[in-house]
Amino acid sequence: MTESHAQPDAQFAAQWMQAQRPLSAYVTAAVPAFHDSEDVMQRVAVVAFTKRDQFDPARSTFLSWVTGIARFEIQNWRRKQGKAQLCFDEATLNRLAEAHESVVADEVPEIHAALRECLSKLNDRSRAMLDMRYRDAMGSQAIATEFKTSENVVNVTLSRARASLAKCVGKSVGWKEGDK
Amino acid sequence: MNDHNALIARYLDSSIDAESLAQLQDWIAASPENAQYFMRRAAIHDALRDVSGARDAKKSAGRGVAGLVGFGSLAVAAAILLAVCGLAAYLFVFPAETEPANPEPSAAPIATLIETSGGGRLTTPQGFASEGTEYAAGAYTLSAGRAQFVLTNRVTVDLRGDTRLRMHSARNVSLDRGSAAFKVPAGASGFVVHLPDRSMVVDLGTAFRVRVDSAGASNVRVTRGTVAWTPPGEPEMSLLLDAGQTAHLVDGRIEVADAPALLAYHDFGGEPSPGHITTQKSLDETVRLIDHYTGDDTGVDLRIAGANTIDLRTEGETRPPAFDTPADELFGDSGVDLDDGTIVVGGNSASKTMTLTLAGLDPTLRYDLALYGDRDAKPDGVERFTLHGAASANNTSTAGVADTFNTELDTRPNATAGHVVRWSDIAPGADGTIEIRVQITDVNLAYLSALRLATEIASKASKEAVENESPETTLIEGDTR
Repeated sequence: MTESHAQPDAQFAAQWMQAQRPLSAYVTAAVPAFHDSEDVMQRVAVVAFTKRDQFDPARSTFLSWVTGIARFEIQNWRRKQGKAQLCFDEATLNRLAEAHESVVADEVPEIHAALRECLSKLNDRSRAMLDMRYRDAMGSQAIATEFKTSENVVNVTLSRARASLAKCVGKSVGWKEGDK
Repeated sequence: MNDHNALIARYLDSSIDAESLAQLQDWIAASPENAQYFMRRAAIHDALRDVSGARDAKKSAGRGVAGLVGFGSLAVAAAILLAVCGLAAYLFVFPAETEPANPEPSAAPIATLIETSGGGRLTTPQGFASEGTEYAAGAYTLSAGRAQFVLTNRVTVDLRGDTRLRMHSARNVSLDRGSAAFKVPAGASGFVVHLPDRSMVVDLGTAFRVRVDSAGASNVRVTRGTVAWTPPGEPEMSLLLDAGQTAHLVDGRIEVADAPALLAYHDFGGEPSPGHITTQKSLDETVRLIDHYTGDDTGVDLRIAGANTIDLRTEGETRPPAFDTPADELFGDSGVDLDDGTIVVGGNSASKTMTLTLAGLDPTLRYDLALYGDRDAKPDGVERFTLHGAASANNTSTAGVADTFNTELDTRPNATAGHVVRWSDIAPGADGTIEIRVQITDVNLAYLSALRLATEIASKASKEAVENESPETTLIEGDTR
């Protein structure tokens, strides 16, 4: 890296850090498995950094620009997966990108803040299962063993917990989703 | 629950089938509001990776978690940050991250057990371990001693003491307790270590050791490369650390201890120690010490006089210090080969005293000097260690302190206790030369395995303060800014 890049690179880092959470939400929507979404995010970061000189703030926001890179990298990832992985088709990914950029991306910081509060309102059993699922990377079968229950009960509990969290977060953020 | 909610849940859990995926896509396509609805659930799913477990982590004493941040995104942010800073390949610490959410580890081999030593028991996902065998992802538990693995991506893993490491993949592990050192080749960039305090170390090609104590508090020491530290929930506060610095969470704050301006290790014999460590090849040799992190000439010479010999006995007769002992704290991460080769004085030899002379020290600086030795044999009486030539010093030996300049300690045996003879804040005097005389007290033998010389942090900081008022230690409040 040359000295002349120092200031633009510092700006790039600041923009990336601001965009990373919204971008991660979009990548997770397209690639929900943790390791896969991580790989895609890392690839997006490398490409974005390599092409940072091509970002034109007069034409798009930084988030839009890196989301465009992410869409391309998600397609690359899908091609590499072949039929081994069930993925959204391109039309769906485009719809999700549109929804993300128009509304959801701006909500991501609020979602994070609200989620912390909402988690504290869950009952202990649901919270423990969520912790095992997300923090301890345990599958439903393993969680069921811990709780001496069935895998189906775990799945239902997790689904209800997430629905409850979504309702709580939505209330906090101000979602008007109607009866879905 | 409505059907689309069940479909979304199965999709986000990666358990959806082709038919259900098609149904979900149709539902998303039905209206922009549906796409928005889905995206919001995906955003929660992503955020849950960050914040789940925060409550427990905050309750845990000593963990010091002050916030929560995202895994994948921050790993990338750190990669970017390092790239921005022009660093080629190095280490990051990300507090308050989530562990990998891949619940079903692959059965494919990812690690080969190279060596176990020290008498501990190692259990692997496939049961008790044997050297040369390949093992799959899962939990590895070491009761004591040492176990070394090489992963399929050439990352080497060195477990020490009572340690539990879960290997999720060849590039993603969780250290639950104990001590693990990692050497990550450039080709294995992105190697990740998750810690109980929900911090995370992401390596881009370097070497570092991570320790997790019984309270779950973690400590990261970089032995090569550079570190970016991201405080909990504050990615914009990333901080670069140089090799030699240590970072840990203390009462909710990130504390970064500076590296000494000079740090040198000298191996008193046997197989050469790897890296920037000098090794004694003969007793006649004057050795110029080199900096442990840079390999630079320190300007400090070490001479030995009066020793009987370089004793090359090995096979457990000369041992490294036990895990978590004072000597392990000072020498354990260095890479000094402590299981063979010592310098010896005493016994039936005519010489009863050996003298270590350090010349070329900077009289304006303060130094820390430590010596470790062991011989696995019956105790034969203490040796007397005396510091000469210093204008002042603090005797910080971990046992046998007689007075400011004298320590009496038996190096035979010493590995289990892992004591060190040590002086801190040594002012070398105007000629820049100090001596350590090792004198036997009867017909006993004194064994020395290695020496460690460092400048005191304060001396570096005070020098910097003159120039730019740089503090010796950086404390960052996790909830500031």
